Amino acid sequence: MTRTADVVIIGGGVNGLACAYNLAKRGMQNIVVLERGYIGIGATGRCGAGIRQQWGLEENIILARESVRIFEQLSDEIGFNIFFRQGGYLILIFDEEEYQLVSKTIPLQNDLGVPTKMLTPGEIGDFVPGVNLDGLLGGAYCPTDGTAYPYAVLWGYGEAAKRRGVDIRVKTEVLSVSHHRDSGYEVVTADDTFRTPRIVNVAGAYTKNIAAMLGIDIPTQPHRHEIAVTESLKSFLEPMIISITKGFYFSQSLRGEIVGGIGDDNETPSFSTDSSPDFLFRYAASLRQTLPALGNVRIIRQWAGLYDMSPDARPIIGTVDDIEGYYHACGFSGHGFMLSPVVSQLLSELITTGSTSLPIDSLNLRRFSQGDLVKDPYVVG
Amino acid sequence: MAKKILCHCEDVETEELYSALRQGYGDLETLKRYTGIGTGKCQGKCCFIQTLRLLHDMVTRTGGMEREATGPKDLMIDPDDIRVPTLRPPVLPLRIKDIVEGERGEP
Amino acid sequence: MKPRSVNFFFENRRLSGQAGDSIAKALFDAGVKTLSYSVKYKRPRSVHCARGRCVMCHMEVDGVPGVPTCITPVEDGMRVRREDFRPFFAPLLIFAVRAISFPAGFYYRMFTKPAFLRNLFLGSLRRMAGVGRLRVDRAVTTSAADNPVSTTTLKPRYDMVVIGAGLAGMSAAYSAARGGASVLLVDEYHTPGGHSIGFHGEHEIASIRDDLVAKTWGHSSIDFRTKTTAHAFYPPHTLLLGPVGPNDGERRAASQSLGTNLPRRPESLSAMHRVEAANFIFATGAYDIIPLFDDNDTPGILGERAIRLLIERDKLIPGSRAVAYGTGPALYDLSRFLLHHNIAIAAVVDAGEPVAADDRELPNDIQRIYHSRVSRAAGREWLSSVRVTHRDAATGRGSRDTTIACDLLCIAFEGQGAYELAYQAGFKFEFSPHPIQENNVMLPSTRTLHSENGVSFFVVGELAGQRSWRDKVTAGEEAAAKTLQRLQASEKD
Repeated sequence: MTRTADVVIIGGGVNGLACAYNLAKRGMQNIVVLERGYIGIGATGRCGAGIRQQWGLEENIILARESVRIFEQLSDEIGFNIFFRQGGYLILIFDEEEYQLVSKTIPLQNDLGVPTKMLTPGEIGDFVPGVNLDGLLGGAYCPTDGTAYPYAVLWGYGEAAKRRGVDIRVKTEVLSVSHHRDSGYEVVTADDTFRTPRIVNVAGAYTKNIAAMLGIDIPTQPHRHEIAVTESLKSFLEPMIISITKGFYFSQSLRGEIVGGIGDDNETPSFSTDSSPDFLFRYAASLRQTLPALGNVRIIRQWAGLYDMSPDARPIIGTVDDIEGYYHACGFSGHGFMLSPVVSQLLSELITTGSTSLPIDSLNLRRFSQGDLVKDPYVVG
Repeated sequence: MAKKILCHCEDVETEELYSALRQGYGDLETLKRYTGIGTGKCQGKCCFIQTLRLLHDMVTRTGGMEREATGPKDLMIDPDDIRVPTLRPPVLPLRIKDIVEGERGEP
Repeated sequence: MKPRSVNFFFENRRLSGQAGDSIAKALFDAGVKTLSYSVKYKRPRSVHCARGRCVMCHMEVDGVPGVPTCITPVEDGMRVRREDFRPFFAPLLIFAVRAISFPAGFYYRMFTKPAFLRNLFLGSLRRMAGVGRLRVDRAVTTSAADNPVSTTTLKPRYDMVVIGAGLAGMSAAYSAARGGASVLLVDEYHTPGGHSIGFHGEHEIASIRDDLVAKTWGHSSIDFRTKTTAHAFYPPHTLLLGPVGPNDGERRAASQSLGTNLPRRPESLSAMHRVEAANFIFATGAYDIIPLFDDNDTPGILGERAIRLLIERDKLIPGSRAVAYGTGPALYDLSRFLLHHNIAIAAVVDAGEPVAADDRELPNDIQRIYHSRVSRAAGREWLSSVRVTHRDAATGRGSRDTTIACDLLCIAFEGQGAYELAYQAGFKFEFSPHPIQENNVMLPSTRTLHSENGVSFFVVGELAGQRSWRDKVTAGEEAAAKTLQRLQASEKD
């Protein structure tokens, strides 16, 4: 059956649902979200739930800061508890070079309103009981960073969008997308064909596949990233603990589980989300090294999701030159969940008004053809 | 008050399953996460089959004597969802120390 | 030889037990039956699966949270306590919590505003969540190795790996070995036999099992490892094995109860191992499934596998007057097992049609109730009675209730296959409806799987829905024959 829509959003992850909600809130009608599986089957539902503002580049810090401001009142706004908890992020530093870099970046973060401070190993020991101080030079701590429950964010945005009339279709895979100069876009699924003047392509690691249907080349690569969760324990761990150089992170969820992962430099691009034994061994070793008491805790489940890696590990957001009515947000390189509130808001501004309240030009796809890529030194894994 | 416990690890009773269905969380993977069924230490060894049984009874309108009178009547349950949800390693909770050291160390 | 006695602490009490016993058994001997309280409704819980799978007997032992006390041996000086058991949980409060029924996801919709109330709410949820308490020191400095001890790969590569040494697994291993294949056969328990443990001399299963144990245990082509758990299967061909798992506590030589004197030999693996092979046979058996009825988590409700393990392995007799509930031959096997161990049977409740031949073997004076279901359990901290609802044969509806006093409800329906490894290897499991709801299980849609990487998988035994010993043995032989064919074909290439 052929249907028409004012906008078709491809991808029912956090960026898709949040974008649908923000568009509906701005008065747009006839919004359709297409999701190939269930809500959260992709990277959102598999992510580590962290939300941090400690970045090295000014624009990343600003985006993250604005995201946190939205997260702070999001439960209230959408009437759904997203379990946002500002337990802070503690970046453990074991490396002199990293220590210098972080020390230099903290003033920049402070100037932009992010209250990061450097803790000495002694202060870390008092703050996080049980942490192994061996080889530790210090730690950068930002108390307003935190975590939220990704599924609650999805369901909350989803319910709020539905209340505003958004049509969210699960188990609906996009089979093809084509663009016609006069009639706009045609999005074909197994049951329906949607005609729409604009599409929002937010399909995570699959965004490039959808874009390819329209002849757009997005230089991102899917990378498997694995995570594991332990049995639930009484709360004892306040912040999210990460190490940029060692590539691991873990935090205690509101349910009491320790959720975390570790990056793998040897990972080759693929759409595989299989579990691997290597990850289990490396992650267990890093947990026990960092917080030896965790040796007595049991891992109950490991899983994997896809990072959509862009060449400079920064997101690709906005329009594509010379292609009308096409918007996308991808290449989040593992940080899509934490940026989704602000990115979806900016996208909806762009779609409804043609401009954004924060500059996103430097995140446009065209940067890859212009060269000059700047990588954020704070990227983990 | 009597409860029919569906998931022992997370202490989920059948009423909670119905309540999730009523709220529109009918997809199997979503149901699992929304109610907590099968997300505890045993990872669904006992509760998945019972959950599927309840969904199956609701889809087929069978269930004989123990037909859940309290169960919602008109829910959209996808028959394709009456299958095993994704199972990931490990099979049993595995102690971090055991993984790292490779053998059982004393606590 | 008289067992050594050990002293241990349970909360503020000093108790004594016998070396070699599980913690749960030692606590039961001392009259402590409530081992934990459930996470949300604070309902009393006790031993349930008896194999380290469920959470009902998890306790804090020597500061370590979540220890499965049904399979962990009691030791001198051990400090055992119930988790999340706080004295200020006044009886009235517990009563209130138990009486509430929380709608699913209520915490997503409560106190979303204002912010201070929301934060207060989230804070208290965070305090209430979780079960075990991890003891963390204030600060630690250890230079423990950053890298994991590298796991070794078991060598040489085996022609075939069999997981589970029940009737089907042992039969597969023996047939393959006889045909010239080198086989690794692993089982998580100290004693091979799987579900057939607990069947005694008079039963034909016992002699089949003893025969298979004798043939496989000493076979030169079979590397037979008991007390070895298969922790995960990682496609395409890696199995993660380890000595840790539910075998931890089984120091009591359960082989005594088999009537087979197994020779002593190094059995378990000493570390985590990865095994790679081209042929895997999953014979992982099944779990007890407790049906849904009111208060079906009351302590004293046990599946047939659990009760066999508790009695045979741990010498833990959890009650004296049982209702046996289930259907099919397994129900009557269970009833005979209970009688064999001097547990009185208050009633045999058959959810379906009785098995005439088996039924005749039970003493006449035992009450039988056919076409009926247990619809409710009662008892505060331990089971005191069950309500049985008779089904009217004509309408299929419940017609009248009977309450039967008992302190055990032993349940023998079809077990759900332990499908985790087979699922991870790629088998699809489908819901298989049965006229008797409690017998619904998930079964693999195929019994053989050939991966594109050239690895073959078979599911046999209870995992594949085979219930009789003949079917299990035959399935094992067939899987072995197919594997041998494959091996011969690959030799020719």
